Amino acid sequence: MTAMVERFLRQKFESPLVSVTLALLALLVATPPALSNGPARLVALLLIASGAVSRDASSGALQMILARPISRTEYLGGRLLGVMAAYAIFLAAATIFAFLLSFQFGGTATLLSAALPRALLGALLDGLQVAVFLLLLSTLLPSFGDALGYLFLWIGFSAAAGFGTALGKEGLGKAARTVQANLLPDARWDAVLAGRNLPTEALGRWVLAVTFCFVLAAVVLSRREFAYGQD
Amino acid sequence: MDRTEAPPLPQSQSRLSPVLFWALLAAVLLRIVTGVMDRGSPDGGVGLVHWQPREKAAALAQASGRPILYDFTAAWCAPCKLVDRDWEDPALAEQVNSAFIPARVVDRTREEGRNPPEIAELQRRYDIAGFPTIVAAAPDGRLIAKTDGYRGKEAMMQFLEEAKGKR
Repeated sequence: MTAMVERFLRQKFESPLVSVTLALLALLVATPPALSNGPARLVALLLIASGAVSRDASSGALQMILARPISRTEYLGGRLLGVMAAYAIFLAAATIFAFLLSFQFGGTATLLSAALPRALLGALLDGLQVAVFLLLLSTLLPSFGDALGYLFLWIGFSAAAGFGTALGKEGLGKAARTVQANLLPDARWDAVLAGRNLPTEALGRWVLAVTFCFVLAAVVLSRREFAYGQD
Repeated sequence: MDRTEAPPLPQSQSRLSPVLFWALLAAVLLRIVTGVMDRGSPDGGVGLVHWQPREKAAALAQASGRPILYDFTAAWCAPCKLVDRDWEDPALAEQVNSAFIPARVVDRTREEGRNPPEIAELQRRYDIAGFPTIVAAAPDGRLIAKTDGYRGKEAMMQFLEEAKGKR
């Protein structure tokens, strides 16, 4: 498993373009209030997690890996851990940048409060949900289709909810909102980690969404057949 | 005759671990339990502020003579999460708890298509155009002060001081 995580980190960070882009995004995430820039965190995660399985499959590396005594579920777990390790490194870089900025412009006291570890852990848990959903899409779609698929689904659900309400088609709007709330739930980790919002329905949704996506990804991967050098 | 036993066949790499299905079952159960436990809970639970149920806020304000502090917010709104983080600040929370009757008003338009009538009525009364909006209102419902958008902890402190002064 450790070897698979190391391999993922090498794959991601060996590209100077990806590393520089992630560093710039970390700088954006570090600007006050630190770690609260959700869109920048999402872009970083899309960059890290996209193609996690599909690129291995299309390059033939997956077939080589599966020639060893390792189950497909273990491979999937290794990829997910790799994504989370890379995302943790990204968040650590953002935190270091936040401290450097606070030394320069003030606000170190805010960073040293208990809110920072909570924000970090909340960002990691939010990231886990997106990462496992991208992993599922990566077992289904070729190349970077997972990142595009995620964005299209997110926009599609939001648009369907909006159009449903605007056109008076309450059923459509409600269905889109229900799917979105269960597949991509907002667990409000800030409140949950502060210990004042347990148990919330959103927390249950989050656990189910993460588990369901991983199990479905494992089922899809276990049923797929890979030809050498093809996706 | 060769009497050596044939080695056991290796497990298929495609075989799914039963642990996955047990985990899925546990997640479904947790989803059901949290759904049942969360039903009917107030829109509170954020920060160190002692949020009161929205329906009781007016009565509590009239009994205590303190103004109501409405936090108009929404689950999808990112700046609202910054305000929520500020409610964790002990000094700010103390200021709110000692001088106001705090109540959260969570918009449900995006989730459910429309708001319950009492939330829609509050939003109309205080002319809420966006989130987050903080409103200080007298016990009789009269508007004392209003601020919208996220402006930081210091600005919130100043707003609370000014609202206290105007009551």
